[in-house]
Amino acid sequence: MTRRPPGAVVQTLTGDIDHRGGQIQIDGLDGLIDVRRIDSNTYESTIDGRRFEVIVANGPDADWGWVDGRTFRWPHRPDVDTASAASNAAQAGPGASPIAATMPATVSQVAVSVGQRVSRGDVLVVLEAMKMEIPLRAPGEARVAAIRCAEGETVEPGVPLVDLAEVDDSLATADE
Amino acid sequence: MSIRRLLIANRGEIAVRIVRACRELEIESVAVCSTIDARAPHARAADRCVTIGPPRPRESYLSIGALIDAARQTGADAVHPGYGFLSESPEMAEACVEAGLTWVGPPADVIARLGSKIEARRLMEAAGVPVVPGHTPRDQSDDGLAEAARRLGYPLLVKASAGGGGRGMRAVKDAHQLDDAVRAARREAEAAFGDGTLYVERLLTQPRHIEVQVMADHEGGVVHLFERECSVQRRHQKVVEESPAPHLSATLRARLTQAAVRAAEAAGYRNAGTVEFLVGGSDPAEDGGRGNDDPNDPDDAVVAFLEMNTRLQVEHPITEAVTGRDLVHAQLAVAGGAPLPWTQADIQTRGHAIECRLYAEQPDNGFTPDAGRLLCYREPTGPGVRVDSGVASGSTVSPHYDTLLAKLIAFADTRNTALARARVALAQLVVLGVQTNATLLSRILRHPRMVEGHVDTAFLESELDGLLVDADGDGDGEGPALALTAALALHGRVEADARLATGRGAEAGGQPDPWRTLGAWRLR
Repeated sequence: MTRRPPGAVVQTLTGDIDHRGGQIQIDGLDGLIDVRRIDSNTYESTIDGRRFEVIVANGPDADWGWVDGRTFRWPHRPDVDTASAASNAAQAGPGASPIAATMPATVSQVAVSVGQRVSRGDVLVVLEAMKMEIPLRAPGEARVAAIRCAEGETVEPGVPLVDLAEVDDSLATADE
Repeated sequence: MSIRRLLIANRGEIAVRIVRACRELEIESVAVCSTIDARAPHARAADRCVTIGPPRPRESYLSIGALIDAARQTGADAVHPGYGFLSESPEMAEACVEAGLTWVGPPADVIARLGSKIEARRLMEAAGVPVVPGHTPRDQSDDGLAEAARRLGYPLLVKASAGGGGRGMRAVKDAHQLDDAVRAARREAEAAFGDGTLYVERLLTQPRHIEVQVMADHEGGVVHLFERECSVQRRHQKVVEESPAPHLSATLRARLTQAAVRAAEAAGYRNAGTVEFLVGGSDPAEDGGRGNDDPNDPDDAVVAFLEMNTRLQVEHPITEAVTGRDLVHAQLAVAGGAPLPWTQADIQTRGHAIECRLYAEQPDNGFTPDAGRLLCYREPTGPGVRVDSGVASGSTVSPHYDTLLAKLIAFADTRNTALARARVALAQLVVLGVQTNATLLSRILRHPRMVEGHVDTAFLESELDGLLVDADGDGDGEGPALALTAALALHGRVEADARLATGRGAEAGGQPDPWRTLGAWRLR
């Protein structure tokens, strides 16, 4: 069996299976994979005589698979996480991405006020979830246009907490 | 007066573990739960359960009034606080005693004294227990703390005087970082402990975190149950612990255990407690430029009292494994008025134990906590494998609580075998529906420094980049991915058949098609 990067594994599958199992041919792979169903979410695949237990589950946000001590996750939509959202927003310019929680959380501090100028990395809001403080930072130069949350409030993921607007450069220059 | 009915003022794995001890001792158990935990394993495990309030901890697990009411209502005669929540609250200990309940822990005044970092230091210094240089400025303003920091020198730690568990604590490399650190620490301290008093302390370079388990009774008897190495930690959150500490000389072990017993005696301690130490080299600039202190050279190592935790620790099972003693049994006996069940000479260690903490978090996304429903959860079993957990398939992992889902403890005659057992146990573990640090734990256990037993408190942070990258050791080639592909194909067929059978056919298009989506899989 040749080793290939996992992302390239699936080419074409052909198979002769019913709901209990059968044999599957994967394009580019010598030999067949025997697969059988053990229970509602457990399967057993046999490749070259070696058996693998596979467990799968469909969740509300992602599908999951487990095999041989490794866990796989397929998000239904691309993950919106703080880090990547911030870096995407930094590339796309301020306001491109809402400043929002990624999980249910409590607002422990609102660190800015409306009209305030912020720079990339400035803390806008501090959330608390699972006893940890999670700072939401400005993705770039911007002005705080609106604050949509209050300290102590419980917030849901994806709901914008702070609106940022483009900095008015003429005003900024006048300030300095 | 021995305990007959015990209220467990906690949730999750520790509540389940205490219920188990109750059953063994034929003590009736009373669980408490918030509304969101009504079906949680800990709530179902006990003989009785009282719903004490809404999910927010302040209104349930942190509500002294609700807990005392629950104890009265169920006729409990004792309260075990577990760890976290109110376990180190003198007010809770006091309230229990006032309500005529036996408190499974040290007296309120002892908790208060040791809970204040300032008082604890003073006490330890007086008792001849070595401490880390540090200072609590009387002037608690930003300026006052800056002045204290300037006099102490950098790097330093800003800590909550009332703190624990890494909350209200920040490492500060230089003066520029101080203001942010002070504000964050103060805010966290006020939120977590209702007390924003801060304290600055010298940061030892690359120390090990080694702690000693102690147990004391009402008659002044104090024994230690040897040490635990807890250096694998991130932001002061422990991740992997082991006992005995690797490469610890007999002399250094004796210094640590003797200092711990002295600390407990000086504090007038009772019940189970842990004395935490930093062990390591000091800053070379501070010791005449000799540098390169060898922490294993008993004459050279710096041993410094860090704090005393006045409760059962998360990592107590590794001590139970190597000493063969049940700490919760002993806690309940001592709290009931019995003398210590063992003399110091009775306590010996055998073999090696390693604990891995399974957290609901996303290591590759800044360790953001994860929450949700556990679609599938399967624990490893086998000789020398113990799992203490507070979740099951179908459990909801709530964002309101600590992210610790379970602890995997591997025990064997040698450290290498214990490591192998822990690795195999992790590979057997199945958690689907919530992201965890399981892959990171496996990689830590295979890391050369871990294998050699040479880790310090900087290990995890400094090796993190490498540990977050898909490693060769994670699996053998494409076999697992192919096996998964084939199983998903069959699963897709089964799902399609089920949809046809229920007549929903084409409209179930929301279901992802495993044949298409496989290209985007991500390893966790």
